[in-house]
Amino acid sequence: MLHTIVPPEVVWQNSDKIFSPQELIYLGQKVLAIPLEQPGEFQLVQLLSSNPALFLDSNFQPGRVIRYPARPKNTL
Amino acid sequence: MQQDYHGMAGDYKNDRLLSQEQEQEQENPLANLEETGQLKLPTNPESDIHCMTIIGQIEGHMVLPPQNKTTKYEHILPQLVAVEQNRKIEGLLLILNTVGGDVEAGLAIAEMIASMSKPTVSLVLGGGHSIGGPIAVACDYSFIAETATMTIHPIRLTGMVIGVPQTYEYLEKMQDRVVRFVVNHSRISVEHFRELMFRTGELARDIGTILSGREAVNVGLIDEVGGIGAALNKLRDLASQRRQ
Repeated sequence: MLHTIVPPEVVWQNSDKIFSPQELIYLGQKVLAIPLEQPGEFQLVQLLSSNPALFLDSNFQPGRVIRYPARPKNTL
Repeated sequence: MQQDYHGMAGDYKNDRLLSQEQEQEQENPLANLEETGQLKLPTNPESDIHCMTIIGQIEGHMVLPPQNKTTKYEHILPQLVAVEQNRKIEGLLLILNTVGGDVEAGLAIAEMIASMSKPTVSLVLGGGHSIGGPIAVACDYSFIAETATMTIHPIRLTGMVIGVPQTYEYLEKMQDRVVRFVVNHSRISVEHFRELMFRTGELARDIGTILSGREAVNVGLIDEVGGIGAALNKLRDLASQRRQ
């Protein structure tokens, strides 16, 4: 439930543009990222780790654009 | 079969490219600028304060469309664990400029901060609206910039007809959780907070109140009007008190 001053129609516009993220191994860690238009470029969505210290590492901040070989899990 | 081989060779090549890229990035700090729009500033190895920013929408159970700037709570929660656990970090500075967001995510962050043993200081810049309010008051001490504002308004499903009484009761309970948290962590009374929440004539599209910096302090929501200097000084004070 959203409690915000932004009207819902503004929050939810472009909701058809939500991509489902895919799992990648980036710098040895499992992350969720969405592919960007440029091939091999991904935007980091979430770090999947149980080590809290890694969440302070700027390499794994959500929103960071990473370059990575496009290697979705199910094609290997 | 041949395709498989090509695919693997390609990946191998890209892996090597990746490691070269990382090396370059370490040598050239501008490489980082290209990617994120931010320069990695030289970090002071002796910094014992962790700064966390809560900006845009607080994203919780639902992924918001890409035009929203969001703070993801699944990233903030383990960061707070790391701050609490890391011996080198003596205090947490929380900088807020948020329009609100998911109620449960906001309350989760607020509860985590409130239950930390290390000193915490918050600074509201620009805005600390809606569910940003509980996060701002969750810290041991809170500051607000003179020009910043905080909006207090009821929780509701805008545009939806409330069909059964249970829905209304659910919203009411959700709101009670927010009100109780804010009252327990600031100097404002339940009656006063509810009065501000249901005031009419202040907001164009809603009922509620917009408090500017000094007003937020006067009603007892925030402790002091101030900026980054005052906030850091307070955090240092609290940290040295804790050491003794």
